[in-house]
Amino acid sequence: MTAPCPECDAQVPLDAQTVIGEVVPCPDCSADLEVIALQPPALVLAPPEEEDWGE
Amino acid sequence: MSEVRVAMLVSRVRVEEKLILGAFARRGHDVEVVDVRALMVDTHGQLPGWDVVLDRCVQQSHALAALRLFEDRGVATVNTPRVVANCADKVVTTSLLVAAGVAVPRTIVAFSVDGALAAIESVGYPAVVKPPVGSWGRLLARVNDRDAAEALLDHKATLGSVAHQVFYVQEHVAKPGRDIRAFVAGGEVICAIDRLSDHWITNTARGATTVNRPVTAAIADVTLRAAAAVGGGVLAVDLLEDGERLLVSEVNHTMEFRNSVDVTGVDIAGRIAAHTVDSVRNAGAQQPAVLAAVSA
Repeated sequence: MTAPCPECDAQVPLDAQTVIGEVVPCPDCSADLEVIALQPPALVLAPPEEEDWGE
Repeated sequence: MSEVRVAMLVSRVRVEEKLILGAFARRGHDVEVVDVRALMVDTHGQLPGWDVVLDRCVQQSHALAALRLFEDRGVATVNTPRVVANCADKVVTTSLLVAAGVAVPRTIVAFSVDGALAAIESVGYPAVVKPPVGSWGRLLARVNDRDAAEALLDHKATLGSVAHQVFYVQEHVAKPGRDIRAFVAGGEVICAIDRLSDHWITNTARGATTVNRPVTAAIADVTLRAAAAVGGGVLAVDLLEDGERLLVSEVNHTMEFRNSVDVTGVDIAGRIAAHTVDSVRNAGAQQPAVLAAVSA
């Protein structure tokens, strides 16, 4: 399964364990991409890290 | 499946969240994954019928507000909003640790550039300046001399948000190329790791590597006292070795652990899942006043 990168239009591979909400890197442009749908798979640019993000 | 209705609150689904979902599944528990960005809580309405919400948000402001709303409406939370508030702000964490008699690096909190400069001079060079809120080693500064201190503080005052106008100044601890992270779940230290780095910042997010660290009595003691000081739950306590002393540098309430499972051999995700289910029992039949008012 693949989905197009919204940044560079490369086909980003997604394995069978991929879930909605997961962040995957684009192998071509290295953008962080968030999986927003699986059927069919779709990706958007992941939100940038904010000040209060953490563990 | 399970009688316990579990929701997991997320901002994004990382390796840790997938491991936790797998751990719940192996225990026969269905989990509803709730993206906090899609969450909407009508304060006069009904919540979905969750028994417990496990917080795995990376955005602490979102987590804190959502957990408060859940807890006030009778839903058990892991961790509780009180624990999140206690851990999310280093000023609060350190204050609680010191009040509980837990050893920490000498820390001074200042509220102006002049105050921060005096604080840095007081702890001596090198000093460490941290943002009260933040993680993953971001925006930590080791200040080696007065010139650097003045430049850093000027930048923070000019460019920083209001959160950077509270200055958290700490003595620098010359740790031996590592710190210790000890994991707590259910009132027990379940494992620990060393985080190794040539850099003075030893976060794995900044490239530190990990090895297993046997949990000694001393590590267990300081870790459990630190965990109790912030309210307990599922936590990662970071320790600095200062000679023979163990100092607590911070306590993390939604810890990452992907680099700790293989080296420790401990099913951390499984322990989180087990504690989450147990917390429903521990929450008991307390009926918060706000829920009673809604029901009336």
